[in-house]
Amino acid sequence: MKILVVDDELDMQTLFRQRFRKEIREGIVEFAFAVSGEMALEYLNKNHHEAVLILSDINMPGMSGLQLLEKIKHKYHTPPPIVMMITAYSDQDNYNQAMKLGADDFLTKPVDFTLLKEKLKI
Amino acid sequence: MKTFLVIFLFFFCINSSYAQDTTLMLSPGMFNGSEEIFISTMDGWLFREGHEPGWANKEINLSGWRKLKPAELSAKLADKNGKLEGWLRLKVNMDTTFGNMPLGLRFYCWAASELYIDGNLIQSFGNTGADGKPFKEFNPNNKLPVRVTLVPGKEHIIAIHFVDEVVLYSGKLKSEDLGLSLFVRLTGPRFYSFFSKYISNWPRYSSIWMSVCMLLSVLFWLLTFQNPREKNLRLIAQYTTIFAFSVCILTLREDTSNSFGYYKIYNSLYFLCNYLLLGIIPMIISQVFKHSVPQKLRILLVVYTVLGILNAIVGIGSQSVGIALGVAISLFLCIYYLISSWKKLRGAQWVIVPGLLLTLFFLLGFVALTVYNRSQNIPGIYLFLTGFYLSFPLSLMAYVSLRFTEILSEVRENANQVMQLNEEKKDQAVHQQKILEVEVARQTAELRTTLENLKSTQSQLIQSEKMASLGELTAGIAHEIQNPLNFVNNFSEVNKELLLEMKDEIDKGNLEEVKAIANDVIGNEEKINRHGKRADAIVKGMLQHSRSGSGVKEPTDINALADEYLRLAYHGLRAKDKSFNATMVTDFDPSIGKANVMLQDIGRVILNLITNAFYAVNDKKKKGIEGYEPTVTVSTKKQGNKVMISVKDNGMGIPEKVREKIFQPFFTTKPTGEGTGLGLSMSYDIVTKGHGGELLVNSEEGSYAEFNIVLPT
Repeated sequence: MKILVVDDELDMQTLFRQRFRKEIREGIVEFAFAVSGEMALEYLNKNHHEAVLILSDINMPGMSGLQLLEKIKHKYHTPPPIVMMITAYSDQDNYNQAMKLGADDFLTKPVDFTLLKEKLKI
Repeated sequence: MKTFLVIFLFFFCINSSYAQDTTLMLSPGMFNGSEEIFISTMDGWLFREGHEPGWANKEINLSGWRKLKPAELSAKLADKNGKLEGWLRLKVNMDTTFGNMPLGLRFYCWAASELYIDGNLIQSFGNTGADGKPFKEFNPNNKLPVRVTLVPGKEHIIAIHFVDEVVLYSGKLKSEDLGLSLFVRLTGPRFYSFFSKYISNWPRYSSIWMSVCMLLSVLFWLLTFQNPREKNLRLIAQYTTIFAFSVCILTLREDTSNSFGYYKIYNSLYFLCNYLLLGIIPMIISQVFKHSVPQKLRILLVVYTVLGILNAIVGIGSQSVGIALGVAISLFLCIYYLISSWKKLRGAQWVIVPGLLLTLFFLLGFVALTVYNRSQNIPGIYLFLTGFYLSFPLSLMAYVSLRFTEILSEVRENANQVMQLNEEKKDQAVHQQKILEVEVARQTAELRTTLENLKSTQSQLIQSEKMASLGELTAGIAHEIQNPLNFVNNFSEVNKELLLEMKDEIDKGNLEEVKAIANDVIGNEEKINRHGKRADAIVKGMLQHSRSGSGVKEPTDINALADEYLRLAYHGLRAKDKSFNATMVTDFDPSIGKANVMLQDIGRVILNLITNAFYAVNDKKKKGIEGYEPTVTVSTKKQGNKVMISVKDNGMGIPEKVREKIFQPFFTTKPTGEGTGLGLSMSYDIVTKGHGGELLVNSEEGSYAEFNIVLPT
């Protein structure tokens, strides 16, 4: 399973690699990273069948996570990528907006990786 | 024979009818209580046209004479030139009871005449032209009788040479004007003295009447012009003026030397005046009693005027009948108004009533005295005349004066009412003022309460705004803290797993793997440490931000302040980064003086801007652009009553998109962890909210950024 993580914090990449190091080692998941919405879209354009799951931050410089979500859901109908939002903003507004724009799930920071793994069923 | 007889008888009759010589028997009883016997109307007169001086003789041939009383003379007898000349003869026999009674003959006629008694010329009246001089009419006004001696019991012949002219416009003899029945009168013993007294008193009394009437008319006109709103006055003034005029005319008419023409003119005017007066009197009565003049009365005045002109001037109808009719109508109207207003009469109106009644009374008294001539009381005659002439004008004067008294008292009453109203109003005003004062006090108290409520509301608002801004911050803070926390938590958990793995590897003795894991753990620990500090910096920045705005403003030397913080910032950065270097340029305007600011806050702003500027030039320098000289310029400048502090760097500048957001809390362009994103937003708040100034930004992307603090001094 290929997962695209979109976050402006570079440490996120290290964190994901370390958290999923067993799964990566066993070849269950494969990660791709983007540090902005723009880069995420660029990646999706190039490898658009690869990423099955997109995990995106909301608060990023430039394109925000919600804008990215909207673009993805608008552009890529088949197969519909699963988009999960991961954000420090855990308020209802953000949640509602994300859901309205078609987010499949909504996780808050600090990320509970056990819960995330459950959701990914790995 | 029979025919002859008839003719003879006829001539005899004519002869006897024309020339029967009868004697008029006169007795004192014929005075009938008066002093005059009007002998013109009595039988016994003979008349013959033409002129013979001998016709005055006692014994003459009476053939050619006919019976004709002086009262029967008329214009018909005049010749074609309109001249009537003839002789009148009367044989009188005085009763012996006359005794030595002094008698007179009064000629009251405009004709010229000569009186002969028993052939002797007694008196000429005017000039008959018998002496060759031209004809001259006789003015009979106020002429005394001629004293005559008629011996009682003896026959006397009274012969009158009579010459008169026909007046062209009336077609009548001049003598007919007064009525020839009044022509010759035998006057009694007291008549002469009575009449001479009457005549001698006339100028005195007529002067009094004229003066009084004229003065009154002047007075009334003055009052009329002074009081145009009193309509009564105008009528009264008009009446009095016409009345004064009529009295003047009367006096002129009564002049004994007037010619017949002037007499007629004065007489006509006098009668016309009387018609006018008779028309105005009911109007005055109506105006005074009912406060209005009906249209009918105005029409009556016009009718009177027209009739007066026709009667008095043109000579249609009898003047005495016309005046009598006028008097009757006006009297009737006055009585009608008097009776109909009787119950409504008030105050001054009453004065008119005795005026009217007295006028009537004096008129009747005068008529009684003169027409019946039962009294030779001259003072009485003049008293009645004076009363008749003046009682109405004087009553009008009394009315006017009383009316003015009424007006004055009305005015005074009105003035009192006005005063009273003023007093009441003043009281009311005072009362209202008191009410107002109470109301103002109440409202002031209410306002004060409201103000206090407002103040507390305001402070509540400020509090809640703080809370809101805190809430706003909370979201940002949450995000900013959650991010480092995310790493702290997860990396520490990962480290625990890694350390567990490392233990396994140590047990396995796989040292290479242990080393690798240990390096990962160290790396993670560094990350944990870094993110922990990041959270710390955020909290500190937040605290700093929340402190802003408190404090007291004090006069501060802005130039010194800017210089101090420039050095602080530079050395602070040099301490952290030994490689950092930049050119500092200062351009301070010494004229700006001191500005009233909160020292700590403005210092924080300047420090923040300078730190940003150093960061920007340092960032650009790291890019290794050739020939780049990092420069930060701090300058001050006076702008009217404001001070501008400018911090300029020649760094990369601020992209336009970013420029809009730089003052938002937690917005930062620095890499994550290096800035809190609160610096500019805090600075913005300090400058705008704390000092009422402006924080402006100018920039060109890639070449410079300039922040300007504009502060009111």
